[in-house]
Amino acid sequence: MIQALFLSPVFSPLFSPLFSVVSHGLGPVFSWIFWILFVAGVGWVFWRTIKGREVERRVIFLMMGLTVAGAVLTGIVLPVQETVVVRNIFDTIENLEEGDKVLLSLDYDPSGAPELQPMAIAVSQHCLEKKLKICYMTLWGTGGAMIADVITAIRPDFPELVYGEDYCNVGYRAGNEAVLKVIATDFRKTFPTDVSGIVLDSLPMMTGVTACPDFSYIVAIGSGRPGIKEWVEYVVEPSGALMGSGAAAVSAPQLYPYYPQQMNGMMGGSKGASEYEKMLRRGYPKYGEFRAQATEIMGPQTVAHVFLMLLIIFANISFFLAKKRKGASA
Amino acid sequence: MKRTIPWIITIVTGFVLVIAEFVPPWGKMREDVLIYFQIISVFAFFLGGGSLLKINLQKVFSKRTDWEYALVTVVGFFVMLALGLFKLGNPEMATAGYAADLNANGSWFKNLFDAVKAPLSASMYSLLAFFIASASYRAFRAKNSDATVLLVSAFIILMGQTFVGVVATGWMPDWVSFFKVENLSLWLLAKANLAGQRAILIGIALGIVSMSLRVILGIERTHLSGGDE
Repeated sequence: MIQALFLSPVFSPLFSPLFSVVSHGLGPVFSWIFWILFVAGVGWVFWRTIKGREVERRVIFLMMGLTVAGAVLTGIVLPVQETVVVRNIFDTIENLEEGDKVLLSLDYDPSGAPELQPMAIAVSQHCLEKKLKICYMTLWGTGGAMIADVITAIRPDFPELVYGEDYCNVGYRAGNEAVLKVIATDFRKTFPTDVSGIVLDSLPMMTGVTACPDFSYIVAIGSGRPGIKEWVEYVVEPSGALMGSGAAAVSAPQLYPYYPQQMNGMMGGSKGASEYEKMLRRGYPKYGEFRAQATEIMGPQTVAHVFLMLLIIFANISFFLAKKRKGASA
Repeated sequence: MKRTIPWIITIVTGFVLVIAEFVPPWGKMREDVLIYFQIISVFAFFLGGGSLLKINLQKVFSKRTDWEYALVTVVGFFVMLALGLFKLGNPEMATAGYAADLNANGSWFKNLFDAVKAPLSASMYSLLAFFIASASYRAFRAKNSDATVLLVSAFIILMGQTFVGVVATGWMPDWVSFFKVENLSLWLLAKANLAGQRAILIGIALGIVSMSLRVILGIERTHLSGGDE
């Protein structure tokens, strides 16, 4: 959420000099100042709480802002624990054979990008390392820009890629669920051409693809409707296609009913993305040094969660103290 | 008439789609109907755009409160529409003509999207963090047993979503590994949450089936309101 602010194209240039300062030697000093301020702020909130005084909303806003900003600037990176839900997607792609086709649907807009774009990039890198062929599509009008950004991000690592042979982009079609219902049985009926108007039949990688089940694996990454749920209902269930997914953290719990029958794996929020990045780094050492966006996000997210948990604890202490005082005075 | 024709269209479409689902030779007809749906949904953009323009232009011309924002909306609408329709500044225009990819790198449409829409959307979503923090502090209290269960579950999920949970319960021996926060968090999501979500989903699905039947059979006609017979 808030980390999106610091990673957005407008704000990130403003913060990059600070990132640069931190990474050139002032890191530990800045880090100590941040942690001292963090502990002092939390202590102050705790003090007011046990005294039975309310903490103003704007103070909480300020502290949350400073907490995440400080965590971003200190560059905290924490270890990531892998889970089987994410590993299933990685293993499925790992076990596909060279030349197999993967359909990657990016159904989100810039608000979901900080969580979901790292998934799309990591899955794309993995597929291309395995020499799989990727077909990108989207059910969201804003998804076209997301696809363009993913392709721009991965191209430098794979300069030999040929459009139409190794990957293609069929873009967006209006119609939401209707698009899915049609491509489940006839892909070309909805997508006769790619995003630049090139007839799909003229793209070598699309030979033999008539419907969604012709793709060896589908990865739907989405943050709303139409998204993963619609993919399950209109494509996976009727056609039996194999699918994995990547969901925003807020929508992930609603999708667990479809795991593992309808989708064999799911990446939930930044945590799921960071797990995938970790598996990618372990399986392909060349990614050891690459800028793992989700892993970087997990540090600030963890600190924000800790702050949130402390607030909840303090609020409950305050609640019980007030109850006790009330009982004593009655 | 205004209600009868849409009602007949609803009945015919509904029956065709239901029958096509169960009678394989009609499968082709189902696909055709779905293509019609896609075409109609494109017209919805015209309707949406027209409605947006009508409301905002009225606001601008009558100089109602905050008419300046309406002006920004109208200008933004026309600028993006022009850049998208005429592919202005699109590097692919030379090769692909008007079929060029809207989001081609370097196109004015994509640049404006990246510079305005992307940061605005990200910033709006970011603000949630502040409100969640404030709401958690004020509302997340163990007032009764239900609220306590919710609070404990939320706490475990919060810890499980980060490395804090691993650190907090990493010392536990393997024979009680189920109680490690990351495992508890996964259990809550994949078992407890799953049971509740499936119950809700099945309930919703049954509701949709009964509502669809009512619409197809013409018993439910509220969606046709607004016109005279």
